[in-house]
Amino acid sequence: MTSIKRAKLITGILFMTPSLVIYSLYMIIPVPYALYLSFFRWNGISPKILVEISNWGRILVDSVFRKSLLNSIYIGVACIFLQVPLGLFIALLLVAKHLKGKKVFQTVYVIPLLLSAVAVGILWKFYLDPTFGVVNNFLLTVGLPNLRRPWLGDTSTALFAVIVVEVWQFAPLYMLIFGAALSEVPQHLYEAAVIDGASSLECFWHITIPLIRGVYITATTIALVGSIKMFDLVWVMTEGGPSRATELMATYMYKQTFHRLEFGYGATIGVALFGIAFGLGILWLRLMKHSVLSGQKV
Amino acid sequence: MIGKRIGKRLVSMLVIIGGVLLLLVGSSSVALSKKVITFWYIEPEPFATMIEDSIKRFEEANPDVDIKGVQYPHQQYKTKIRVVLAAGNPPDIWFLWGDEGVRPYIEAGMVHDITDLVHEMDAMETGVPIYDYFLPTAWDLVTQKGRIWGMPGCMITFCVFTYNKSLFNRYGVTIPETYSELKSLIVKLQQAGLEHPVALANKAKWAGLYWLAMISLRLGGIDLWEKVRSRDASFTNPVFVKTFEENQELVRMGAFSEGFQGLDWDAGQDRALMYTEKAALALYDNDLPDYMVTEAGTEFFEKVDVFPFPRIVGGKGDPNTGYGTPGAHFFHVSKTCPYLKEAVEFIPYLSDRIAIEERLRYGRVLPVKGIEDLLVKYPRAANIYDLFFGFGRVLANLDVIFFLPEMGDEIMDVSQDVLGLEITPEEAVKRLDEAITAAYGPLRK
Repeated sequence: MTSIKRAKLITGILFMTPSLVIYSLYMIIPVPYALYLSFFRWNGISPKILVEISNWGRILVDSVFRKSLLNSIYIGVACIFLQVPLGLFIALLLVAKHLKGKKVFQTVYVIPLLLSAVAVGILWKFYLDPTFGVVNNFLLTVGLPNLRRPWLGDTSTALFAVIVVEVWQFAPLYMLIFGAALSEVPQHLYEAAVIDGASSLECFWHITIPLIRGVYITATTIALVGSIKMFDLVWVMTEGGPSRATELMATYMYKQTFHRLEFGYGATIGVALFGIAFGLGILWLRLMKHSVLSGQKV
Repeated sequence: MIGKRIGKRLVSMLVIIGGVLLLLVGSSSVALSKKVITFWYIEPEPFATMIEDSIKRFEEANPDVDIKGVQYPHQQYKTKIRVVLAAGNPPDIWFLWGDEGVRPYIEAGMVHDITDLVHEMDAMETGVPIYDYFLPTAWDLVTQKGRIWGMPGCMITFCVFTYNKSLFNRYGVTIPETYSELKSLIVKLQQAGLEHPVALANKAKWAGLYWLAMISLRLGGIDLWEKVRSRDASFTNPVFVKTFEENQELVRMGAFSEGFQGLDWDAGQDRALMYTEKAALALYDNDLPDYMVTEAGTEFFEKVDVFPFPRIVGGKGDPNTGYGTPGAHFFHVSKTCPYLKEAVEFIPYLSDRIAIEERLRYGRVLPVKGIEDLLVKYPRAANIYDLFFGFGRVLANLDVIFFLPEMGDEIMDVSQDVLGLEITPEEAVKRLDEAITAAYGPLRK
C-alpha cells in the first residue's frame, strides 16, 4: 500500500471510530446481552434464576405476543403501502415545474416530521378525543355524524387511528427522500420520451420508477423495519391498549420488563423483535430485488 | 510529511473527542461545595409550588444542602421510576405508594432503613421526633418486618364520588343511599340529556379499578380481599364474579364517558367533560376537586362536593369500609444517596405547618398529629378527615399498594378488559386466580 493510501485508510478509521464505539455500545453489545438474559428469570433487582429455554417456550404459546407481532406487521405493511407511496406522491406533486408556492407547501408538509413522537402523540390524542376532538367535530360539521368513533377508546378503531398518525408523521420523510431522488432524474429523458409520444403515466413507469428504484427499495425497507420496532407514538397515544388492541412487540416488551418485572421474558421478546425485524428486512430486500422494480426489461 | 498529516488529524480528532467528553462530564458536576439531593414527585400545581416552598424552607435552615426537586406527571413518573429503579440509578428521594408495591425494592436492599433516624431526629424545629410528628397509622404502609423504610409526605386519600352539586339540583337528583339508587340516578341523568353522566378516563387502567374495588368491598368486604391475598380464598368467589357483572352492566348502560378506554386522566380528558357539564359525577379519590381549581377555576371548584360510595343492599361488606391510604405517596431514601441524614431531615418539611395549612385550603389533609385547631378553619378538609377516620377499615389501593407490582398490573389489565367487554366475568376471575397463584402461591387447602 502506498503511503498516501495508508494515510487515507488511517484517517478513515480514525473518523469511523467514534461512531463505531457508539454503535457497539448501543447496538452490538446489547443484543447478545439480551439473548443471555432471555435464559433467565429476573425481576431486575434480585439475583438471576437460570430457566434455560423456558422463556422461549413461553413466547411460542403467548397469545399476547402473537397479537403484538400481528399488530407490528400490520403497521409495517401500512407503512410500506401507505406511507412511502404517499411520500412519493407528494414529492411528485411538488416537483411540478410551475407549481406556485412550492416552498410554502414543502415547509408545511415537513412540519409533522419535525415534531417529536411524544408531541405528535399528545397532539393527536386531543384531535381524536371523542367529544372535543377536531376529527369527530369535523365529521359532525360536514354531515357525517355516523362516522364518528371513540377512535382511541375502541379496540376496533385504535390500531387504525395509530396507523393514520404514524403515516401522517413520516410520509414527509419519504417526500424529502424522493424529492431528492427525483431531482437527480435527468430532464432530457422526459423531453425525449414526450417527443416520442409517451404519456405522463408511461414517463412515470418507464423513466421515473426505474431511476428511483434503488431509493424506493431503501425507503420501503427503512419504513418496514422502523415501523416494526415502533414504540413512542403508540405508548403516548394508547400505551398498547385498550385491551392490547394496539399492543406492539416493543410495548409488550416494555410492559413485561418494567411493569411485570420480568426482565428475562422482556429480553426474550426484545431478541425476537430484533430477529423478526432483521429477517423481514432481508426478506423484503430480496423480494424487491426480484420484483418489477428490479430494472428487468418490461 | 505523511506522518505530520496523520499526526495533525489525530491531534484534531483527539481534541474534538476530548472536548465532547469534557462537556459531558463537566455539565454534571456543578456545585461541588453543596450536598446535592435529587428528589422526584408528582403533585402538580398548585401543590408543586408548595413543595418547592417546602424545599426553600429546608434549604434556608440547611444552607449546605441543595435539594433538586423534579415534578413529573403521574403516568410519566410511574414509567420513569420503574426504569431507573431497575437500572439501579434512582433519584436520592423517590416515592411509591407503600406496602406490597414497594416490598420488592425493600427486600432487594435498595432503600435505607430509617427506623432509628425517625425516632432520634426531630421534625424541623418542633422538638418532636419525626416518628411522633405523623399519625401512627401513617407509618403502617412503610413498616415491614418491624422496621421503617419510608416516610409519609403526602395526603390522606380515599375513594369517593366527586359530583357537581348544581347539576344534581338542576336535574333533581340527590345523593344515592344505595347502589340501585345510584344506577337510577345515572338513568335519570341520561334521560335529562347527559348521555354518559359518569366521567371516567381509563387509558391508564387504574381509573376503572375504583369500580371493581368499591363494588367488591360492598358485596364481600375487606376480609375477602385479605383472604385472597393470604391464599385462603379464591377469586372465583361469587362476589368477584358479581362485581365484574355489575361493571359490565354499567358499561352497557352507557354510564361512562364516550370512548373512556382511550381517555387520558393526566390530560384531564374526563374532567373536561365535567367542566363542560357533559358529566355530573366521577369515582376517584377525594383529591379530584383539587385538580379542578387549577383547571377550571374556583368557580367550578365551589360547585363540586363529595359523597361516599353507597351501600349495596344484601351485600356482606361493611358499608363503612374505605378504599384508600393514610398517606398516598411515601418517600424513600435510596441506598445510593450519600446524604441519608439530610434526606431524612428534609422529608418532614413537605408536611410542615405552612405546608399543612396551604393544603387544608384545598381540602387535602396531611397525616400529621395535632392539626385539629387548623381543621376547624377549613370545613372541606375537616370533612375529609372525619370521613377517613370514620371508616371502620380501609382497603389499600389494589394497583399500587395492596399487591406486588406484577399482580397490581394484572388486576388493572383484567379490569380494563372487563370494562371493554372483551372478556366475561368468569374469564376475568380465572385470569386473576392464575396471576395471584404466580405472585403469592397456590390456594391454601
